[in-house]
Amino acid sequence: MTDSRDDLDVPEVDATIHELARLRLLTILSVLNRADFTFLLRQTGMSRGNLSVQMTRLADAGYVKVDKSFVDKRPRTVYSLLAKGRKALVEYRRTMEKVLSKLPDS
Amino acid sequence: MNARTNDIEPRLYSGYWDDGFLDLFFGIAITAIGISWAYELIPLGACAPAILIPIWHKLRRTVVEPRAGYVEFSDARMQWTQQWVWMALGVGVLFFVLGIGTYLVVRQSPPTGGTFLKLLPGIPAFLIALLAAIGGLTLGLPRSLFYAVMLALCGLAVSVLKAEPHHGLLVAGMVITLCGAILVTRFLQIDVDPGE
Repeated sequence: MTDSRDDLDVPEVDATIHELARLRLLTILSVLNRADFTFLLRQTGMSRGNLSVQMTRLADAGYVKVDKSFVDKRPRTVYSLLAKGRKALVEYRRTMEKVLSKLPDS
Repeated sequence: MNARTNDIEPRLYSGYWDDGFLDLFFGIAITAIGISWAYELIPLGACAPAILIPIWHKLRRTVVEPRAGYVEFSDARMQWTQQWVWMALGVGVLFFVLGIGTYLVVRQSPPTGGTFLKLLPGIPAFLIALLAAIGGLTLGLPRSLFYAVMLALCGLAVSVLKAEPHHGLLVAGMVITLCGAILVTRFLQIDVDPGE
């Protein structure tokens, strides 16, 4: 018996990116040099806990660089997209275009 | 992925200015120029932007960033903005000096007739309108284009009603200050984020 994925010829997508919250975060970071936790919080409307979990996941995957510092005695966590993350995002887009092109028009 | 070819980056950049401090300070600067003009202290009014810009910069860091967050836009965006800001500043200073100079010279010995001469009292407002339009296009702020239209209309009204140039500047300046104050008040309702 063959793998059903082979039968359908559906390409594998990056599970780290294939989650709406993380995709939104990576998309925002892809058009910026750097952004801090508060900026991402305001732009995405996510809860603090969710944002923290998703950013940790992206950092663990090596897609995002995390810089922690103190500015005016307040903690600041700044994120930037790493080359690996950018490459993965481009690859994800290509894969999804392939997947979506297989869908019927109507 | 090109940061300039999608609509996410312009939306983020435009939203970066939604705190209203820029509007507030722009309005205060125009009002200050109007007041200084009324009291024949034009050079003092011209100093207003130089005083207000560092204050605005400080407020962005201490008031805006703790609420809206810190962001660095792409190098391409910053370069593009810088070019436009320098161009706007150059054009602004040149036009402003020319405008004031022309107005003062003509006021000393008023020539008669001509559409241009009738529009003369409105020139300061027209020039600031031009700056507002350039600023609006650079920062992607539609409300700045509204300010530009309002300033131009104030300039036109001053010319038609044969009023003094500062009347137009004062009206437009106060309206923009009010708009800025409303935006700032709304923005300050956002709580300071304690960070991650």
